[in-house]
Amino acid sequence: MGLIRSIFMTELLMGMKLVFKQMFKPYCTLQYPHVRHDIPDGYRGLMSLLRYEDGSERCVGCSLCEAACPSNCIKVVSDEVPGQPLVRYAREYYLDITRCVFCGFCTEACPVDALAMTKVYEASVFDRRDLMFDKRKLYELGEQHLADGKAYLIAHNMDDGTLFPKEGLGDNRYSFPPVDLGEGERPVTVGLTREALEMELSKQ
Amino acid sequence: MTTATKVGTITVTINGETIGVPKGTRIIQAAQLLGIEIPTFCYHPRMRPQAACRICTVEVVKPMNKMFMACATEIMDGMEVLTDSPRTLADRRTNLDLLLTQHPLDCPVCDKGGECKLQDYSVKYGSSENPFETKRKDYPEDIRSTVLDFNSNRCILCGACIQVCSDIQQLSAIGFSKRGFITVVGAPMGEPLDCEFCGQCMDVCPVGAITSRFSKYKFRPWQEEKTQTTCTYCGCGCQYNLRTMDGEVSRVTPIEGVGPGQGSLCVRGHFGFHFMEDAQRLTKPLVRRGDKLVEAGWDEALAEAAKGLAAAKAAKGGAGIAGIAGGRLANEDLYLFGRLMRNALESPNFDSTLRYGYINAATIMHKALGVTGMMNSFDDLRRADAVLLVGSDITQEAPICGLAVKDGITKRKMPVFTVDSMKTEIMKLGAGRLVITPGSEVAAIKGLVKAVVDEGLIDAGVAAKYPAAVAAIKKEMAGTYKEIETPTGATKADLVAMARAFANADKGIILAGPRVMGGLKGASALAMLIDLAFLTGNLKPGAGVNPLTGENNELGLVLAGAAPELLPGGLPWSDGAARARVEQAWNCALPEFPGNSLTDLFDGMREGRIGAAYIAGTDPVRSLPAELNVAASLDALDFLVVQDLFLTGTALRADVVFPAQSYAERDGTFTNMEGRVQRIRQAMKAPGKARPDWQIFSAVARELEVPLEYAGTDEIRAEAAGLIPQFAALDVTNAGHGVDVTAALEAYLAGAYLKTMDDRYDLPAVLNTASPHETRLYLADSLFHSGQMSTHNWGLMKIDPADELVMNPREARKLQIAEGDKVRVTSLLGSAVVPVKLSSHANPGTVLFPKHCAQSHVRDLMGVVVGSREEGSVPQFRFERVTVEKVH
Ligand code: SF4
Ligand code: SF4
Ligand code: SF4
Ligand code: SF4
Ligand code: SF4
Ligand code: FES
Repeated sequence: MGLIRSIFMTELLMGMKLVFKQMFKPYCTLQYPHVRHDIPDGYRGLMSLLRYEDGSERCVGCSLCEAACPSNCIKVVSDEVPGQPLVRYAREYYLDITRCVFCGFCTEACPVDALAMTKVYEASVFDRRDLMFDKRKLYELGEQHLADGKAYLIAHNMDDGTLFPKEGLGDNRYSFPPVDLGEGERPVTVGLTREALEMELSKQ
Repeated sequence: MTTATKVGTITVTINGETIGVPKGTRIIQAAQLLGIEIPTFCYHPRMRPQAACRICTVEVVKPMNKMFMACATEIMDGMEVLTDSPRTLADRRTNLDLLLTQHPLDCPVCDKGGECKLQDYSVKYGSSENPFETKRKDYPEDIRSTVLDFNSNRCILCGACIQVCSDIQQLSAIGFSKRGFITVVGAPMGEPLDCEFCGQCMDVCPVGAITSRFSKYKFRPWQEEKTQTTCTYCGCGCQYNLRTMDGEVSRVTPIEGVGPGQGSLCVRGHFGFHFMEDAQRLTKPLVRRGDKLVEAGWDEALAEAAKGLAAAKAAKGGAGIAGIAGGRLANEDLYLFGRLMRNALESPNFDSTLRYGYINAATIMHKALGVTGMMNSFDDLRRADAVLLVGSDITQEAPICGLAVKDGITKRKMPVFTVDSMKTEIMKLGAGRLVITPGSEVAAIKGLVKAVVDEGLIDAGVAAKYPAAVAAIKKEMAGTYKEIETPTGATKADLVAMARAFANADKGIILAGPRVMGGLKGASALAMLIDLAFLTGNLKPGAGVNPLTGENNELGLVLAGAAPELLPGGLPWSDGAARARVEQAWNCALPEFPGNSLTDLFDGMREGRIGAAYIAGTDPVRSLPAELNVAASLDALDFLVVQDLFLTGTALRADVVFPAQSYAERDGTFTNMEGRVQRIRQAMKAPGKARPDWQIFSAVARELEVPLEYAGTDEIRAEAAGLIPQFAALDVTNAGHGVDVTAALEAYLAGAYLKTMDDRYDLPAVLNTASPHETRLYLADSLFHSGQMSTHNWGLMKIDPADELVMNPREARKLQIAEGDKVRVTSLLGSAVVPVKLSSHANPGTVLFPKHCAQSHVRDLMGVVVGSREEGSVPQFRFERVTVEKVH
């Protein structure tokens, strides 16, 4: 059998059959980097921080993203904005992209839609340290990819159309009450000891 | 009512679990004993129930079926309670729904987020749909006070803050104003809050309505590390959690039910957490090169220090070296410092800040009653029948001890009698007061003893048991009341009334402050108070005499024997057996005679008897007045080693300066005034190359080739406990189960007691009569400060800049002086210009200046009189006569 197959080159013919079949199908490879895929809005690429339209920072430094992150790669250092009593912000913000697992939990935790994932997937750099994103870098990404960030939040249902209207970044800012300048322990029920109880009763 | 009548066991069943509890127990307390959690907002374990918030509703099924407030309902025998029945849960849900109708839900920007009861309960018991119409409050947040911010929008009107301020702190500095939807919490009349800033209102607030300006937005509770440690400011020794984030302190939080304060803190402990991070902390050893101090490595500095000390020893003998310790060092440091001085350097000249007054308490209390420190615990104070407080502004000097007294006042209407030369806060709350002329404490105490004797108030048992001693005291009281009335300004009627009320109480506690021990006849004054307690039958468990300390570890100084007349264990140097024990333990020979006391040491330095000194943890140049010539004395030394946190006035004169670590950067223990030995723990890294004091002492000893090597503070304490049994057990008070002093007292009465009687009751001459100046200047303690640690706190300095002369408002008006004006204060020794603050704390005729203010020169106006050897050689410099005039 083997000999007959070799003589008639059946294998070759079978191969060529596949080739000819494929020749008439459309291409699926792209001429990357000259041609690129369309990325869907819900894509979880590099993280960015967004600003309000007036340029002020959205992030209020609540550290909820840090708490939500399963790989502990976010660090928020919160503080009061100097000279603006009661206005809270992230004085420093770090995101270690090398450890980020792109789950997007942080964006969901954020109460002010300050975090959004962009469509940037080209994260390779020559120096690993460049992947430790700080606040400046994250806001830069946000500025460069504002439309993507917006689209991401909408795709992930993180707005109800009022806080974050589709036509622009809405006014989902924390409304601080006006400032009047004018002129423990976790307090859950305390463990009581019998001794302490008797002491307290003896004083009445 | 005492425990005996109240106790009687009744049973209660909660969620099917039965427990026997004393009568009077409330449902919430029984539930806690069983470990069942009932939500609460307004309940606080140390306050009367106010049943304001209604979140603690539980269903009682027996004896009647009804909903009750767990926090306020006393248990009836056989009661059956359900804490999570459907009815209870429905009530809780409605309660939370109603609260959330107007709550701002600022959680992301609220400093309470993560430890907020409203958050926790909403998650656990709330509903996700609120059936009520909601309307968010938007009232301006009040950030006008220095420390506390009030956000009335978040307030759930539980009233806990108001209650803690009125019942525990007894200041009533805050309240509600307006009504209904727009109720706001804060200082009355919409004024900015200006109070003692103990911060307890913030601690009890279940939500984020009261927050701290000093920690604003700086932390999330889950990001912090907490380290339980002991406060380093005063002798109360409060326990708290020092919370740090990335090695920086974020805040201090109390620990409910733990330590002497039971969860209360004062402003210093709560908000004085910035000094460790002060930029002026010493980070590297310094050595003198010419007239400059330059940075050096440890090896170089240690070698230099050892060389200088050894040279002085070679030239002048061990007695040519002086050691001076501050009461802020830890127990282990003090023990090792003592061993370095007495063993390695063979010097008897080891003195400390005990000399500022507490030395008298150390010697007399031991001699008469055989105790070190207080006879009673703070708990005894909370339960006493009467308290006599002499010479202490307790709420400023020992705030938490003051709270124990206030606790008795609120809960049991305990009568408190005060004898003092300034109007203190506790006087206002007390049952009787004598405002006496500054410096006449001794006369006033004698007056009280006389009243007890003359009015026949002597305890019958004591009179029968110790006739000789009682007769001797009686004999001393032969004089007239005139002798008392003239120097003190108190009348016979006042003295008699006070003596009578105090003597009639069953358990009377006497508290003696720094103005008793620190006076010219400090030892006698304390001995008289012991006589007073003796005559009124108050030397028994639950009653007694208690000296109050100033610095946080003064009792540690006593126990380490940090005074020439003391040995480790606080025993007198004259105790031969004790000396032998020390010699055996240290394997060395101690000199026969005790060394010189502080002022003699300074004289010795100028006279050339003392060639070198080692000063650790204290700054005599700034804390003693110029008249003592401390700076000149130190300059006269051949060699000076100083060990401190900051480059103090003393350190500037040193040849070698060692940077020490603060209490937050190392382990160790402090002893509080009740005798509790409590741990401090490392919570953060020390700046630069600073080392803990004990390691420095150990390294110096190594250089001197007398190795004192230890692996850590626990090892030092274990060794020290051989000589100082108090160090063996942590966290127990002297008076834990009632001290019996009978044996010691009898030995005391049988000793030299009768012979010293005459001297004791001689009244001292009135101070500074020669001065033509009329106004009396008094150096007072401040609630907000305690020396260089507090003045290096930007926070505390913001609350109280600490350099103002306090004047009586009425008197100031007469001199046309207004708040903030500058005045010139002149005494025989010179004059100083300071700003004025008006307060009725100062009596007419008296002006007060904070004792701890190092910046101003007011201290140098004070004349110094040094007490006799029998009276502890205490340099007395708290009173001076001055003239105050306005500077134009
Ligand atoms: S990014 Fe969002 S979640 Fe993170 S700290 Fe800022 S506001 Fe909070
Ligand atoms: S008080 Fe509690 S519920 Fe209210 S905003 Fe603050 S954290 Fe949130
Ligand atoms: S800080 Fe203390 S004194 Fe001031 S209002 Fe609060 S509880 Fe009262
Ligand atoms: S401020 Fe806090 S403690 Fe005070 S009433 Fe409001 S919620 Fe209660
Ligand atoms: S009372 Fe004393 S020990 Fe307690 S917090 Fe205040 S300063 Fe610290
Ligand atoms: S905790 Fe019981 S009513 Fe507030």
